[in-house]
Amino acid sequence: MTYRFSTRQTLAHVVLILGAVIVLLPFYVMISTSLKSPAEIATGTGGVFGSQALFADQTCLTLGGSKADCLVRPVLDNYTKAFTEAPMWRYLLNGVIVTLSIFALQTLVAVPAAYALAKLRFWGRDAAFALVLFCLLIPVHAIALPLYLMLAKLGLTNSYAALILPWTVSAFGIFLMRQFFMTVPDDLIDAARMDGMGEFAIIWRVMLPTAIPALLAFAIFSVVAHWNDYFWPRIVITGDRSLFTPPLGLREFKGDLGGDFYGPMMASATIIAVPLVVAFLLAQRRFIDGITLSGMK
Amino acid sequence: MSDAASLSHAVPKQQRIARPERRQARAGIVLFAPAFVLLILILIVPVVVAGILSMTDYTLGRPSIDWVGLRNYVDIFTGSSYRKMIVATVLYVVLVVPASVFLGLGAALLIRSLNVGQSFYKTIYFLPVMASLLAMAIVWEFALHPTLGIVNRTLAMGCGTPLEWWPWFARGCAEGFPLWLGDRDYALYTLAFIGVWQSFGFNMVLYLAGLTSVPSDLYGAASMDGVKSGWERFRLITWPMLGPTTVFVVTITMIRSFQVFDTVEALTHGGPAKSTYVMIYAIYEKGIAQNLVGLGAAITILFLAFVMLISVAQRRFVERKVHYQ
Amino acid sequence: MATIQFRDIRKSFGDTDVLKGVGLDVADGEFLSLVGPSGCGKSTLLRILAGLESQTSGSVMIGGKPVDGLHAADRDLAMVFQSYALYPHLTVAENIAVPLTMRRLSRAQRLPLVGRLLPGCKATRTEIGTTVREAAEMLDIAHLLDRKPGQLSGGQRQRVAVGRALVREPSAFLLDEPLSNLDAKMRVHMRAEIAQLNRSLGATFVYVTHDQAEAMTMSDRIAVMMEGELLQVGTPDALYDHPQDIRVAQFIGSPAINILPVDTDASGAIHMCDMATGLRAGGTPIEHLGVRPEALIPCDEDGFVVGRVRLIENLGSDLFVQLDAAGVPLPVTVRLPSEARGRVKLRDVMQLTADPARICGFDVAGKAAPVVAIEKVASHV
Repeated sequence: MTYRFSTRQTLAHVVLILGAVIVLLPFYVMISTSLKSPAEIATGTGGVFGSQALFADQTCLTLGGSKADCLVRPVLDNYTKAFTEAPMWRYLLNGVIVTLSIFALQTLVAVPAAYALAKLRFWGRDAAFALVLFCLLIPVHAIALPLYLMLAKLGLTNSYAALILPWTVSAFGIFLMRQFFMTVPDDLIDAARMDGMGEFAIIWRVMLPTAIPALLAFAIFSVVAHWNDYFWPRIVITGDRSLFTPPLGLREFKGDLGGDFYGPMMASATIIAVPLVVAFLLAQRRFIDGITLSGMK
Repeated sequence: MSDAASLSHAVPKQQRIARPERRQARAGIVLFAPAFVLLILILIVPVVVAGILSMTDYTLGRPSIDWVGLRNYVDIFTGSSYRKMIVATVLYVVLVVPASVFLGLGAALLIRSLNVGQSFYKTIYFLPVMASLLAMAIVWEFALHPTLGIVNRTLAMGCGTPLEWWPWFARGCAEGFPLWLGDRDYALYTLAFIGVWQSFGFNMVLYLAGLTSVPSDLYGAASMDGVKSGWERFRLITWPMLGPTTVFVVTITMIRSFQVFDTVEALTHGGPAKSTYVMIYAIYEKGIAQNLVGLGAAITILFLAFVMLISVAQRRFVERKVHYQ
Repeated sequence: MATIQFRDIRKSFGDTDVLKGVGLDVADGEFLSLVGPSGCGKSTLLRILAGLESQTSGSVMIGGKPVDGLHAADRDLAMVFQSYALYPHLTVAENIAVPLTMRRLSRAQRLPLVGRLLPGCKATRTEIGTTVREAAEMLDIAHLLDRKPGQLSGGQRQRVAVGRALVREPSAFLLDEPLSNLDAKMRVHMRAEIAQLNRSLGATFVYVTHDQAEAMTMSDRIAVMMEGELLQVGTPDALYDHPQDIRVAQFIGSPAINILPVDTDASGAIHMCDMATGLRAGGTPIEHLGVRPEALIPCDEDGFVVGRVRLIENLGSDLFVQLDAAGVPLPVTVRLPSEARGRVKLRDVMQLTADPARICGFDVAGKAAPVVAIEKVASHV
C-alpha cells in the first residue's frame, strides 16, 4: 500500500500530536527535572537534560565540607539522594512483597472458587454467584473506614497483614476466572476425572494451565492497581517507614522537604513509575488487555 | 506394555465410594468456602459495621459508645462544610466524566482513522493509566508551580504577543498567572484536569475495542444507502453501535472519579476553603485522621449509596437495551 | 477384559425421566453400539457406566462386580470424548502419559521439579515414556509426540485421544460420539480403524453414536434407544431385516424404510387405500407395512404400490427413485440397479411389489407383527 498525502490524515496527526504533547508533559517534567541541578530548576534553564555542570551540594557544605569536596554531578546527586535520603530500596522491596502476596493470595482464593462456580453443581451455587456479583458493586476503597477499624481492633495496623489482607479476595477475580472457566469444555474435566485426578488436581493441573492468558491479564490488572495504590497504605501505615510502599515513600519525600529538593523528588518519582512503564512498553498488548479487563463484563 | 497392567493392579488403591454428584457437591462447597468467608468478612461485614457506626458517636480507643440516631446524617446535610463536600464531589464527577469520555472517544476515532502510527498514539495515551497517580500528581504540582512550574513559565512567554487580546491572558500577564492549586477558583478544575489527563486513555482503549466490534459490512451497507458524510456515518452506525461501550465507560469513569483521593490528599488537602473537599478525602480526614468515626461512617454509607445507585442504573440501562440491539 | 451389565437403570432429573429402566448385557470383547436420536439417554447411560454421573436406581456391573459409587478413575475404564478432551497445555506425549503418571507415580513424585529427585521416579518415567511411544507407533502418531493439540488436525487429535485411552489397557473402552467432529472422509476412515482396534485388542467397546451408519458398520451388536428406553438389541442384520419396533425400522437404514399406512379387515386381509395388497396379517391387525427401498421391485401388474415418479437420484452405482403414491403421506423410495438408468422418467407411473418375506408389519402400537402372503387363488375371488 502506498500512502498519498491527505489533508484529513495530516489534520488527524496534528491533533493527536498536540494531545500527545499534553499527555507526555508531566513525564517530560519529571525526567528532565530529575536530571537538573537546583539552580537550573529554580531558574527554569538547562534545557531537556540540564547542563550537568558540577555544583556544590548544600547539605555537604553545612556539614563543613570544603567546596571542592562537595562538588557533585546533578544527575548523580539527584538519584543518589533518592536512595540515601529515604530507604528507597526498602520501599521498592515492600512494593514487590505486597503486590506479589496480594496477587498470589487472590489467585489461591479466586481460582478454586471460580472453578466451583463454573463447573461443579453444589447446593447454594446460584446464591454464591449472586454474592460475588453483589460484591463486585462494593469498591474496597469506599469501606476503608470500617476495614481500618476492624484491623485496628485486631491490632493489625502497621503490618504487612494490614496492607495485604483486605485485598485477598477479589470479587472481580472470581467473576473473571469463572467466565473463563465456563468456556472450558466439560469433556476435558470428565477426561481428567477418568484419568484419575481429584478436584484439586483438576484445578491446578488442568484448569489453571488452560487459563494462563486470563490469569496473566488478571495479574497485570492486580499488580498495577496495588503497586500504584496510595489510599489504602496511607490509612493503615502510620509512621513506620520500614513498611512504606513506594507511593507512601514518595509522599513522605514531598512532605518533608523544601523547594530545592525537587531534583531528588523527581528522581524518586521516576524510580517509582519506571518499573511499570518499562514493563508496559515491553508488553503493551498484554498490559492494555489486562488493565481494560474490567471492560469484559 | 504387558507389565503395565500388572503394575497398576499391584498398587493398592484406596477406593472411593460415593455418588459422583455428591462428591462434586462436597468439593464445590469446600472450594468456594474460603472465598465465601473472605467476601463476607472483607466486603459485607464492613458495610454492616459502617451502617451501625454511622448512628453512633464511636471513636477509636474510647470504651463507651452512644447511640445518636440519625444525627450524623443530619450534620452532613445541614453543615456547610459537608455541603461543600457534596458540591465538590459532584462537581468533580460532572467535570471529569464527560471530558474523559469524549476525549477517549475522540482519540479512539482519530486513531482508528489513521493509516500509520495507530499503536504509537495508543501507547502514549495509555501511559498515564499505568503510571502511579500519586507520583504524577506530585509532578503535576511541580509543573503547575506558580513560579517554578513549566506551565506558568510557558504562559508567561505569550505575554506581549497577540494572545493578550484574550482578557484572561492579559490579566495573567499583568497580575501573574493563577496559582492553580492554591486558588479556590481554580483548584477543583485543576484536579479535574489531572483526573481527565489520567483516565481518558483508559476510555480510549475501551472505545477502540468497541470500534473493532462494529461490523464493517454496516458501513458498506450505509454507503450503498446513500450515506456520504462522516458525521452521518457516525450518527447512524458508530454511535449507536458503541452504545453498550458508552454505558460501561460512563459508569466506570463515574465510579472512579467518585473515588478521587490521591491528588486531593497530596496536593490540596481538600482546600483551599474546602473547594476540593471530596467524599473519600472527607472519610479519611474525619473518620481516620480526626477519629470522628460516626461521621466518617455516615459519609461512607452515603458514598456507598451513590456508587450502588450508579451501578444499578447501569445494569438497568443495559438490561433495557433501549437503543442497543 | 470384562463383561458389562446394566440392571434396570433409571435416571431422573426432577420430573423428567431420562432413563426408564434400562437393562443390557455386554459380552466380553464385544463391540456394542448405543444408538438413538439426540436426547434419547444414550450418553447418560454411558456416563453412568463411566462413573461420571450416578443413576437414580438400578445397578451397573463390570466383570460381574457392582461398581455403583466407585470413582470413575477406579473402574478400569477408558473413555474417548466427542471433543477429544485433550489437555491443551500438554504435548501429545504428555497427554497420552497422563493416565499413567496419575496411577503409577505417587503424589510426591508428581510434584514439579522436586518429584523428579525422588527414588524410583526416573525409572517409572522412562517406563511410561516407552509405553507412550509404543502406543503412538501403533496409532501412527509417533512423529507428533512433541506437538501440542492445537497444532494437530481433527483426525490426529482423535488418534491422540484413542492413544490416551489405549495406554491404560483398560478392561473396556467407552467412546462417546468420537467421530462426529471429523469430516466425512476421515469419519469413514476412522470407523474402520476403531473396529480394527476392537478386534486386535479384544477389549470390550461401548460406542455411543447418533449415526446409524457408524453403528451398522462397526458393531457386533446394536442397542437402539429412544426416549429413555431400550427398543431393541441385536446384530446389525437383525435390526435391519427384522426391526421389532416401527421406530427402530425408521431409524436404521439409509435411505429410510418406506412406511405404508394400511388397513386390516375382519378376515385379516391387508388393504392399502381400499386396494388388496395380497397380504394378510399373521396375528394382530397390521397398521403399517415397512418395505426397504431395495426390497421394492417394479412390476407390470398387481403391484401393491402405484405411484408417479417425482424425483430420480442417480448415484452411479444405484438409482433412487421417489414416487408419489396414493395413500402414502411421504414419497416412496425405491432403489433400482444402475441398468435402470434412462428407462425411468419423471412423471412415469410405476407399479411396485415386494417379496412378502422382506415386508415388515407393525401393529397399532408400532410393534412388529407377522405378515404373510395370501394364496393367489384367494386373491382372485
